[in-house]
Amino acid sequence: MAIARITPPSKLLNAGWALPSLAIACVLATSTASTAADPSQYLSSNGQHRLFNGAMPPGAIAATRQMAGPGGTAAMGVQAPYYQPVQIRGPQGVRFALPQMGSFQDPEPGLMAGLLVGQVYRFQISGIRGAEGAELFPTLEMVDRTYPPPGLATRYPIIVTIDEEDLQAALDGQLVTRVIYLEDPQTAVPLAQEPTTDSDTGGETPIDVSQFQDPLQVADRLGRVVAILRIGSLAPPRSHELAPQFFFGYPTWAPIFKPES
Amino acid sequence: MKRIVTHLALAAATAILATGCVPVRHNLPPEQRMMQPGPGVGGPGPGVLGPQAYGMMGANAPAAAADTEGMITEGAIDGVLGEVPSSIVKAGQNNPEIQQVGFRQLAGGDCGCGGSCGGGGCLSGGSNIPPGGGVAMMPPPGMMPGMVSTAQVTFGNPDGMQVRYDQSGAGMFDSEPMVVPARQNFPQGGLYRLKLTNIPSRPGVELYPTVELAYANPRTGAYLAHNSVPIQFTEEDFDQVLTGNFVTKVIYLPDPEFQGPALAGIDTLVSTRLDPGIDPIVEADRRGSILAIIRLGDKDIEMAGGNGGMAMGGMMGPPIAGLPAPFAPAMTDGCGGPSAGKSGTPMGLPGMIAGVNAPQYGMPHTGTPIGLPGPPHIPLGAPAGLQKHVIRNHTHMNMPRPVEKMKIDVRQQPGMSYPNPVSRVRITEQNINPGIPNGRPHYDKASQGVY
Repeated sequence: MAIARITPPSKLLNAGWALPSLAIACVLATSTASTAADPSQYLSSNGQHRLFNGAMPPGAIAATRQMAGPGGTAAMGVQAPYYQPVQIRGPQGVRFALPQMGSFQDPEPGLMAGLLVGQVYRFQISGIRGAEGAELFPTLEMVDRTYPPPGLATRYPIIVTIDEEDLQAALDGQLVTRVIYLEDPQTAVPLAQEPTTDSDTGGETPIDVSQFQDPLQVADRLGRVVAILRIGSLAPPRSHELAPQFFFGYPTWAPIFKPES
Repeated sequence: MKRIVTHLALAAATAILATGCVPVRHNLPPEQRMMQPGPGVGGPGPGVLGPQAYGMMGANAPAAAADTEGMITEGAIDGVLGEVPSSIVKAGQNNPEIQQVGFRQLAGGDCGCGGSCGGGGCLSGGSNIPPGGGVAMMPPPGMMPGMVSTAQVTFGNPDGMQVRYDQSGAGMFDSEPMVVPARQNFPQGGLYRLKLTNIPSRPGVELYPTVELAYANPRTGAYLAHNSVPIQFTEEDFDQVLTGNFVTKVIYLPDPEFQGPALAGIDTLVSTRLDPGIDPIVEADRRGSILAIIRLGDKDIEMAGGNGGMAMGGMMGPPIAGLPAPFAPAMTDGCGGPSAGKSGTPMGLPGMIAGVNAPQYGMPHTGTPIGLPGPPHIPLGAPAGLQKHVIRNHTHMNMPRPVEKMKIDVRQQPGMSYPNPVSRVRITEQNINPGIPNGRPHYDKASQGVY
């Protein structure tokens, strides 16, 4: 992809799987401890607690980011609405659809749309290989935007990649959090990332973090967080009254049509 | 002459009546004042801000207000329902020293725990995000404001079992039977009675467990917005119950320190598997955030001669038609509930209860010079009659005078010996490409991450 060369490529972080050896060690340690935990155990290594973490409800991080000024400066001010082009890609056969007025559009494999920064979108995943008929409804929280060259916004969208491991973990009942960040140009590895073997998800190499780590914190250390994807196995409610709450109020989005080629 | 005598007698009788030589008629206070339990209780007095107006708690609040009509006066109900006048808000903001607790929440909007607070104030830029995800819905006109946060519950085990719940709030298990595996949305912060029938390998057994769903908090919000709470009953649970034991299962989201290789990142504590004396709820609360508590016993709720099924006091209707109706509020604290950060207030009751979290009945809102509530104006209904209020402090005190001069001698051993300072430096700089700082702003500041 040409994205990797011009814009620093977005990287992905996974938090859904604990390292087995570490997890077992943790359970052994906790089962023998019968007294109350010492408060110092909960202090982070750098001696401070972070205000925000990846486990906060969807929309919380985006709302805080919206209060910051343009470019992440401390100047307070509400940012102008901006439709950030986003492309959602997945394994072979997987289709995505965004809701509009209470119903889903026709699902398509590589969904591209302009999503409002600061909003939370719940979309539909269908056509999962090995789980026919199953549908997932993850959320995509748009935290920040990118600043591509003028006129090239749709050519360099934020690429949200969902791989088979994510889908399988979500179908197993786990909560997978992917934090998409823009690399810090000062610390980025100056190498063009080649597509991996799976050409559909190629381009990015996700960094798996354990459940002991906060993916948001790791991403914040490596760059600027632009979006947070959370995949679970929640089904849409049957009650119509609960639908707007489930879909976060149906925020508007702009369709991006692919050029005829 | 007779006429004169008659006139004199009439005049005397009139004079007796006029001068009050008849039984005295009591002069009661005005009717509006008699309606109040005491001066300053039903409403703000001059220069005193009114009590904090708590929001109504969902659809159950009108019934609760109606039940307590004798205790809460009309003015108080108006204060609960209505908005605070802008003049009072302005006065409170201009005089921060006389603000009551929670006044800022009232004036600025209760931020809740949904993470929509940033810094010291509420965020207006982002959308209104309730805890647990979702978007706060604006209620249609005529309906009580309030948002229903739901948690999706998955009944996963054993297959084929049928689960019923109370759908109409009538205390009956009148829902369509759900055949496990099944899913259902439950309003958060409620205690629900279920009916389990058609349990595999146990014909004829009917059990009535309760499920207590906690409110979402910032720790569980993302989980509840994306995943369901798995509720499973094992053969061991049924064995324990049918032999007369009481089973408590606590489903919780472990803190990272207690995260294990459990299903879905959550863990379950069962009372029958813990050592005696260990409360599973306390233990789960220590290890993480509680999502649900299941209590399972062998009591037959629907047995004739009982207390009428579960139609006991405190029945509530479902907040949205089709959702299960709780029969009691959950006792677990959390965010997003009626208390919304103010812990301990059960759902369906007004926020301030005399003697519980508000001054005693009849106690005026005015305070004493040392900050305690003053004595009530007795008798109630009369004008404030307190004219003198003396508090003496008899505490023995010995406060020495501060020192005026102080001297400290310091000697470090070993002493300090530094090399001679540099007196000559030669520097040669060669810059081929002038550097341009192109990092993102403040990238080198080790400050708190703000997104």
